[in-house]
Amino acid sequence: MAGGAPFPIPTGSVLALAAILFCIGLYGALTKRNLIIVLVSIELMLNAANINLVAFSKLSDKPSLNGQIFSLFTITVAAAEIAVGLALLLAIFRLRKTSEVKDLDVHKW
Amino acid sequence: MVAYAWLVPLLPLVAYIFLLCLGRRAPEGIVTGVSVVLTFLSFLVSVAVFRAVGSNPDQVAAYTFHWLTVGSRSISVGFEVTHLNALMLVVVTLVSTLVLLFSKGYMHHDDRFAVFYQYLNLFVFSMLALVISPNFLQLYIFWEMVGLCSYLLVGFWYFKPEAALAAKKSFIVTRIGDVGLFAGIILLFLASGSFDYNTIFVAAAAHKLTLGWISGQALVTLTAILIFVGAIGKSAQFPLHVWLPDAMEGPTPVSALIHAATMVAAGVYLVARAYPLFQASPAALTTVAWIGGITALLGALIALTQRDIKRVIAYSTISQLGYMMMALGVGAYAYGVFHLMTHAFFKALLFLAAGSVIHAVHTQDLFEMGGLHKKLPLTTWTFLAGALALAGIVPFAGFWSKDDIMSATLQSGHTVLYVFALVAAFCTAFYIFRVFFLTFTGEPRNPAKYENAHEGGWVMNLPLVVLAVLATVGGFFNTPLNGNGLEKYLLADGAVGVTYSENVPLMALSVVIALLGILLAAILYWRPLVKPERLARGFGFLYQLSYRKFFFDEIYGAVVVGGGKVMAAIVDGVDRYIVDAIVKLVGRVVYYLGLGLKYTQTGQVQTYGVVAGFGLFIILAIAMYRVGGVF
Amino acid sequence: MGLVFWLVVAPLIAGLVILLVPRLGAAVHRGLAFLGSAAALVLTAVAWDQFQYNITGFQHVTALYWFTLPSLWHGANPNGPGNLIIGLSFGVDGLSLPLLALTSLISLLAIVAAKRSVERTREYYFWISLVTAGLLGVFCALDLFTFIAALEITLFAMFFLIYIFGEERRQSAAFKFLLYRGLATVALLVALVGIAYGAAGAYGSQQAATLSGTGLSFDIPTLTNVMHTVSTQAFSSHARSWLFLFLLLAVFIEEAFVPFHTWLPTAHESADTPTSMMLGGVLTKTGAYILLRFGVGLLPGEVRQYGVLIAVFGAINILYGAFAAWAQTDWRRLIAFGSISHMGLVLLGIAALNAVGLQGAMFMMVSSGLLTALLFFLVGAIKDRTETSRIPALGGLSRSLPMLSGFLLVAALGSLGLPLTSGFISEVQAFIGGFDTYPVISFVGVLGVILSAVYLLYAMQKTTFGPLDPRYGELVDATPREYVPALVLTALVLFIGIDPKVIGELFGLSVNALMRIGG
Repeated sequence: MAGGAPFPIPTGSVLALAAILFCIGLYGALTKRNLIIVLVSIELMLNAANINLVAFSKLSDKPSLNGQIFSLFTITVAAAEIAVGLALLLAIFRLRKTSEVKDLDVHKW
Repeated sequence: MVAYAWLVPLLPLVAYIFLLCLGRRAPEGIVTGVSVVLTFLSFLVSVAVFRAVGSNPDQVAAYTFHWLTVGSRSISVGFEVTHLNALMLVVVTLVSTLVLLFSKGYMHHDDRFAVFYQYLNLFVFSMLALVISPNFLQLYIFWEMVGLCSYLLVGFWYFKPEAALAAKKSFIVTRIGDVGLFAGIILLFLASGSFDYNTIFVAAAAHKLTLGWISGQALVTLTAILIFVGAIGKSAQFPLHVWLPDAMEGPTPVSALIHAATMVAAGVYLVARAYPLFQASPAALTTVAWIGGITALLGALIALTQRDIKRVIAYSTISQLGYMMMALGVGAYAYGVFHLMTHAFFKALLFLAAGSVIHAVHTQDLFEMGGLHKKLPLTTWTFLAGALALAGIVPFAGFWSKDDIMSATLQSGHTVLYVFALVAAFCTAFYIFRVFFLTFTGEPRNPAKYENAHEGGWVMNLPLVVLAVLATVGGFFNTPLNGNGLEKYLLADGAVGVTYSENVPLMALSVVIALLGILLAAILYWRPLVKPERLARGFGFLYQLSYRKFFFDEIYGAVVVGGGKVMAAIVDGVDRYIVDAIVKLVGRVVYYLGLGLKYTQTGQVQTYGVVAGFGLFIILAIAMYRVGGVF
Repeated sequence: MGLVFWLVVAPLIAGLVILLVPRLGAAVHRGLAFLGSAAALVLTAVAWDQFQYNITGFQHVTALYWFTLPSLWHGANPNGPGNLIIGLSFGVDGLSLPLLALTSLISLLAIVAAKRSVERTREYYFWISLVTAGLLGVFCALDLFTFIAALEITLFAMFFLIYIFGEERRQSAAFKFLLYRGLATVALLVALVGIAYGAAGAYGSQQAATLSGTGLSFDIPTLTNVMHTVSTQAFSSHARSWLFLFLLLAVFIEEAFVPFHTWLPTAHESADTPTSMMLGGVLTKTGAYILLRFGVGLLPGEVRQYGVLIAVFGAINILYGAFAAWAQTDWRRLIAFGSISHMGLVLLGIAALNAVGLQGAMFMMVSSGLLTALLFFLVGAIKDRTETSRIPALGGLSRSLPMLSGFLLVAALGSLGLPLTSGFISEVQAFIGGFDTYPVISFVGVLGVILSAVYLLYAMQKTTFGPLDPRYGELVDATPREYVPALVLTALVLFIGIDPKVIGELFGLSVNALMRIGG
């Protein structure tokens, strides 16, 4: 049933939620020292984008199912990507004995 | 016959090419024989041409063919016969033949004998081609060619550093003059459309010579002076006279031929040939006269004190060339040319006789000679004939020509120049007889050298005799006694110059001055009543001035050569340390920029991410607020 | 496929065969390179023989189509073609024919002069063939694309020749050469493409562009015709001035004019003899060729407008080059600066913008090319024997090396402009032209005539005259491999000096064509 819930959810709040989550995720990806936390932050950014997709699928001018379907894709991709990321992390840890981001500077001058 | 005048320079060229093909190991006899025979044939043809032109005044002719097209104009080369150059052809071929013959004895056993003759033949060809050129460009071409031959011959004994330096100096100093000639003929070409003599002279006389930036009288004067600058260089006039004494490093036949009779006379020939142009510019003529007069005096003053026999004669040449220029400058065209002819004979004679002496005693220092009249009688008498001619004692050749010049100078109003000429005449008589007495009379100063002295063979003696005869009777081509024949002959080319009537008191005066000079020389060197050293000390600084050649070489060396070297060093310094440094600087700047920028590569992905995010933010801001949106 | 096409391609084919066919051996490499250049020379001779003197324009034109860039510039005439045809086209006229002959001849002699001991002959002869092909292409290109492509080929081929096969400090010399001349190519590209656009009306008012009629074209004869008639509305003089300045920058660097000349002495110092011959003999003439073909041909008004500037730089070059040459202690740097001095005269002749001056400039290009190549060849021969080309270290060589010293003397005399050599013909014509238009500047420049005698005779005196240095007593004089090239070059120098008509006729045709357009 379109929009007939006990109280209508304002679109702005949903978008704001997604934006805040995105920013938190961005902040974490760019500043955290631990590689695992960076990966988690990237997951956070992806989920924020998912929220946006679902929100627009219901709350936009022409509501359709496209947004929700696309969010399924995003979740899948995120899962695959985190698997690869964790595998890389394990390999780096075995090689370098560290999981600090600042120790991975092979491309330094 | 005139149409065959082209044979005259061709025959020596054939000799040159023939000798080139024979190579440097050719036998001396063949080398000399071919050269002398061909040049003598040239002489015969010249005489025939001379007579043809003389007997039929309309026989002057020009034959030219197209050489190069520049734009819409055409430059041609060929040959031309006038009264003036017919006379020059005779003089040059005659003296050349005699010198070629003389060299057989003088250069005997030199291991580059054949090369010497090659160069000499090339020179004779170039000189003759210069003389029969029909236009200024061809004259300039062969002008430089004779300069080249002079360079090769002065530096013939190239392993002597002095000879190599002298050759270089002669080429460069004459080149300074040549640049003036080059500029002058180019300006004339631009103003008149042609290099051809007659075209230019006609235009000059009709006041039709104009360029965009200068015209009329100023242009004529400028070009005449530029041409004269060329003559100053080649004829060793003040201030470009410094190369000629150094050129004495070359073998003596070279000095006789090139630096006495022919190449140095090319400058006089040039002024004479271009005389209509000079006549259109009184300022130029005055310049010529004064330079000539100063040179005449300068050369004579320096010759007074020199120790090297060849250097005395070299400075004498400079002085006598000054006389010729002075004659041309005061308007006495015919007399200048007449003196050129007589000078060719007696100066070549003096050089060849000096060569005979040098060949005998193997030294050139006057103070190592003495008493040679017993060992070298023929040389003594021929030298005496030459000396008398040079000093201007009647009836020898030099008297008639020099006297003509002096009387013309006085009568045309150039009193100061006349005084210069008179003083120079005194000095001339003095210095040449100083040489005569020091060399041939008295006691030998170096007995070792004296013992081995002997005359050269007939190849050296015949030319001496022939030239001595010419030095004695050569003056009779142009005396009042036989109707001034040469004058009339030369003036048939066109009314050039002025003539002056004879003036017996002046003639007497010049003979007396000359005799006084000889007397002074006799007092000092023959029967010494006064010791020359005391006289020299008495004159003190003046003596030094003369002996050190008025310090011209030192001044030029410091100012011109030194200045040039400084300039060259400056330019090189600028090149290496400024211009090149800027180029290197550009490279350095880029390098250091890169060096600075490398610090942005921290290797930290998060840093990259921050920067990228920041950049994205800026782009979006611009898109939102300037363009109105991303899409 | 015309004659001229095969002329350019012959050395290229030879080079490719040398590069690609394995296990050929040094002698075969050398022979192939020789054949390539010889073929080019023979074809040039044929073209010369078939050249018709009474028709105007380019002859033996070959045009090969490659592709079209459609509607390249939408501002072009909407009614006319905005397509740009890209392809190769070649042709000869009076100016290019002698330069082609010069290139192929010097390339041939350079190959003869190359030492037997060169290692890596495959690359060596490949690069030499490539340079030859490139230079030949430069001088007969009738299309901007072909021209710039050929110029670029010569650039990097010469770079490799200097970088790999040079002598001391070759790496820095090669890089300096490449980067400096690369800058020139950039400026040239801007200028030429700009002119092409301008001729199609890009820098003028819209209406004029519509009227200009022709579309965008890279073809040189077409451009020359258009630029002859184009008005200042269609192609603003402001734009033309800027383009001309870019062109001038390119020319100055390419030709090594002061103050953009410092790559030349450095390159010559480090290059080996055949490379120096190609560099000094031919490569340094491309700049003057550009100025003539594109400067005087396409922008004559600007040449006249900036004439004083160009003439002043000409005089500066003459004197700067001569003074710097005097101060040098290495023969190769001396010859390089002498070449700069000669090229100053070329600049003066072109600035004069009259028939005599242009013809003199063209003569000087050929003359200087021959003489520079000859001088480098002889200095290289001396260096092979005495291990040095430093002037103070040499002395008295006339004793032990009479033939080489004799050739050196003739080369020096040609360089200083002695009459009966090609140097004099060039000088006299260039100065006649110079005195006509810029008399004061020419008076200053004519002093260079004295200076050239000074530095050349000073070097000659130190090297060949004087007492024989005992180290050089037992040297072998010229072998046939050495005196044949010297003889050929000397003979040509003298031939042009004695009978200049042969080349003069060709140059005269080109000068007439340029002057008709230049006014």
